[in-house]
Amino acid sequence: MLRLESLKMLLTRLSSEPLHRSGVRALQCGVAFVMLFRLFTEWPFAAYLWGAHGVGTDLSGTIGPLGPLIQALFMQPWGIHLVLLLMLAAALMLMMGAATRQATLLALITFWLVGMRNEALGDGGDNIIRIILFYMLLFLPASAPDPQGVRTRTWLHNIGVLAVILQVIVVYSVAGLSKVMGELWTNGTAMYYIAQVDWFTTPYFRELFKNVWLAPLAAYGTLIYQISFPFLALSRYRLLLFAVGIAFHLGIAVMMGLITFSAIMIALELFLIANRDYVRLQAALRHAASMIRSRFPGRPHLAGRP
Amino acid sequence: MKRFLSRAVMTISGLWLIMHFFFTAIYVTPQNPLKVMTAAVVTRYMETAFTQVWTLFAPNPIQANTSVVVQCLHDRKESAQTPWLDIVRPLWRAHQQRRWAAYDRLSRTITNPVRDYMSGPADLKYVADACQRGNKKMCQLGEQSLTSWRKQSTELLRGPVSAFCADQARALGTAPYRFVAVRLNMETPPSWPERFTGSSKRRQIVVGTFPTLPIAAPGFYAPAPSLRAASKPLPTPTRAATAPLTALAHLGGE
Repeated sequence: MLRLESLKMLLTRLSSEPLHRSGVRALQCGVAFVMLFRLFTEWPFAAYLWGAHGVGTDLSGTIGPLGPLIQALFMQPWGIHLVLLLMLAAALMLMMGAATRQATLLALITFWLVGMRNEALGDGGDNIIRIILFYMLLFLPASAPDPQGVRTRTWLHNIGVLAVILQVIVVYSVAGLSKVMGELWTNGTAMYYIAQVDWFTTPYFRELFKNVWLAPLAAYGTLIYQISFPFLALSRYRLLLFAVGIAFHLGIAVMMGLITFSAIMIALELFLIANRDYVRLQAALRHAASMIRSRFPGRPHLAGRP
Repeated sequence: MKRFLSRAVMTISGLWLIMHFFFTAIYVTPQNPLKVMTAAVVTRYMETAFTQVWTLFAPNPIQANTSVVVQCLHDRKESAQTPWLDIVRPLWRAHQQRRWAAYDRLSRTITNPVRDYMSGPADLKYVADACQRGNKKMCQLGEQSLTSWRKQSTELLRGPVSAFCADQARALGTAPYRFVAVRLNMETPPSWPERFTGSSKRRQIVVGTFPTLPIAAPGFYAPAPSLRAASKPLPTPTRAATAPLTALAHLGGE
C-alpha cells in the first residue's frame, strides 16, 4: 500500500516538476563544447576525414533511401563544409541556450552524419553524445519557464532526464563490471600497462605509473568508483561522488589526452546534480565568498575621491 | 479528448523508457542465454540508433603499441631499397605534445582499424571458447568470421595508408604511388615485475600489399628524408602551391 502511494507520488512529481533544469543547461553546454572543440581542431582536415576524396565510408547502401542522397552530399566539394557549418550553428545555439530543441535536432543530425561518414574517428565520448542527443530532444527549451500544474511537456522533459540518468548508470556499470573480469584490473597493474601505450600517455606518466603505490591505487580507485556509481548516485554522498568523477575525468584528459570524452563525462556529472543541490551549492559559494571578504577586507572604497 | 491524448502520450513514453532500458541492459551484458534468445529483436532495435560499447579499457586494457609501417611503391613487388615508414608514431608524438589538436582523431583513422584487425569481432571469444571445447563447426565459423573481419579492417586501413603515400608523392614531386605494402609493428612493454629492468618485445605482422586508393593528399605528413633519397623526382615537379598544415616528422619502421 505504502509502495503504491510512493509510486503515485513519484508519477505526480514527474508530471508536475521539471527536474534537473540547471543540469540540463550544463549538459547542453558540454555537448556544445565538445562539438566546438571538434570543429575547431578537425575542420582543417575535413576534406581528408569526410570529403569526396577522403577516407570516409560510402553511405549509399546505408540509411535506407536517404543513403544515396547523403552520399551525394558528401561527394560535393562543399558538402562536408555545409554539414560542419550547420553543426557550428547548432553548437553555438546550444551554448547560448537559444532555440535549444531545434539546436539539439540539428546537432543530432549533423553529429550522426559525420559519425557515420567516418566511423573510425569515433571514441566513447562520441558514442554517448550520439545516444543522449536523442533523449535531449525531450528536454524543455532552455528559455521556457517551468510549466505550471500537471503538463505533458513536463512529463516528457522528465522522461528525457531519466533516460540520460539511466544511460550514465549503464555506462558506469558496464565499464566497472567488465573491468572486474580483467586480470590486470584485479591485480592492480592495469594503469601501468595503459601508461606504456603511446596513444594514451606521455613520457611523464609512463614513468609515474611504474610506482608501486600509484598504479594499484589508480586501478582500484577506478574500479571502486565505477562499480559504486549506480548505488551512490542517488545517495546523500552524491555530490562527493560527482566531484570525484569530475576530478577523475580531468585526470583522463591530462594523462590520456581524451579531451572530448572527458568533457562530455564531466558535463554528464554536472547534469546529474539536482536543482536543489545547485541551489545549495550556490548558497554555499556565496557564503564562502562573504566569509573571505570579511576575513580579508579590501582597501577602502575609493569612489568619490577627488 | 485533450486529456485522453495527454494520458496516451504519457503512458506510451513511460512504457518506451522501461522497454528501452530493458533492451539496453540485455544488449550491453556479455553473451548469455537471454541475450542469444532475444538477439533478433534487441540487436535490431539497439543498432538502429543506440549502438553502444562501454567496455572501456576492459576486461583488460590494450598492452602494446601497434603502429603501422608502410612502403609506398610504384610496382606491386616490395622493394628492398624503399624504406619502411611508420605512419602512426609521428601522430602519437604530436598528440603527446599538443593535446588541444586533432592528432588523436587523425591517428584513430589508422589505429581503430588496426585494433579491429588485431582483436577480431567482439563475439569471437565465445566462438573460440566453443572451438577449444572441440566444436569443429564453431572453429570453422570462427575462422570465416575472423577472415571477413580482417578483410573489412584492411579495407578501412587502405584509405589512410594511401593518403600517406599521396602526401609523400606530392611532397617529393614524384608520380603517384600505385601500391602500398603494409605491416604492423607490435611493441609490447615489459611486464610489471620487469618494468625497471626489462625491455619491450617487438614483432612484425605482414598485412599485405594493396593498390592505393585515390585519396587526396591530406597535407599533414612531411616528406620522409629516407624516401626522398630513394625516389626519382619527375622532370616537372608537381608540388602543391600551399604548404602542409602540419609537418609531422617521420620515423623509420625498422
